[in-house]
Amino acid sequence: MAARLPKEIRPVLDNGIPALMVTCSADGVPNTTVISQVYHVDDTHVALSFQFFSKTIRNIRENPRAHVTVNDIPGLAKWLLELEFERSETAGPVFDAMDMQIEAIASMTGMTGIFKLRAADIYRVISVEKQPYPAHA
Amino acid sequence: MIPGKIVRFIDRANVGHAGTRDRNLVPHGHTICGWTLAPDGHTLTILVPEIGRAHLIESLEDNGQVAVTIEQYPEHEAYQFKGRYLRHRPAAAPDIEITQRIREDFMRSVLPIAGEVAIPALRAFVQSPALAVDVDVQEVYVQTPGPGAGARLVPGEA
Repeated sequence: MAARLPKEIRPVLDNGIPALMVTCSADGVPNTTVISQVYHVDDTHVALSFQFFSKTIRNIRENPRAHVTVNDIPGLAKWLLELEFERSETAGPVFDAMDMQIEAIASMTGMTGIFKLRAADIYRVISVEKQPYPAHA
Repeated sequence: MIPGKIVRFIDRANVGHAGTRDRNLVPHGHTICGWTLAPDGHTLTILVPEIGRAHLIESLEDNGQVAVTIEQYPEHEAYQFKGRYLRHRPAAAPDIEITQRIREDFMRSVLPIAGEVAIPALRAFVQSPALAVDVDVQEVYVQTPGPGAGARLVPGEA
């Protein structure tokens, strides 16, 4: 069962604001990390960049579930995505597009030479929820 | 015990996020809007706005596992704190002051990029706390982007 990404999330995924990802190891230890990119693959899939052999990547290979929070600061909302890892791609149109975006993000954030795409990890969207900020923060 | 360098970082960081997991090992993300380290040097109190409460207490009371990433923007210096849930309580006036300081610091950091038109949105981004959750920190990891990310600082690697 997959959830469909609404059209209004597309510009949020492209806004360049870092997203937050939570994974969990097979022995039950959660891990949080900041990710630079959530790439729209199709209406039921996103791709996340695999840049380092990190704890996040190890966790996902053990336990495919992930939670990602995408910030829409101008739109006064957060988007919460529940995801399940499906496969890893090291070539093809999704990989190439993500690689180009990573280069651009690295250049804008002073991280040139640090970010390097190893793979585009494709995730199925299990649920998607928009959380507007409260009226009075 | 968290080293002095990290204690000072905790005081100047301006963005944070927490993660828990439920009994089925499904991870959950939680917005946080503040943090402070107790004088004992290992109890980290995280402040959670209403928007970050979903699944939080159920998960913590089920298994106690929690991870917290705190970042200093725009330098991208970041550390992850992993530990065990101790207790929670409603947020109080001193917690609101902590969040206010972090909100002002975050806005100062982002305004040169976002411009003054973004002030209302940036102010809303760091929301007021609803809950304070105490975490016994057992591990600290470097999370600043780059090849050093993932190195464990606490306890020190042999």
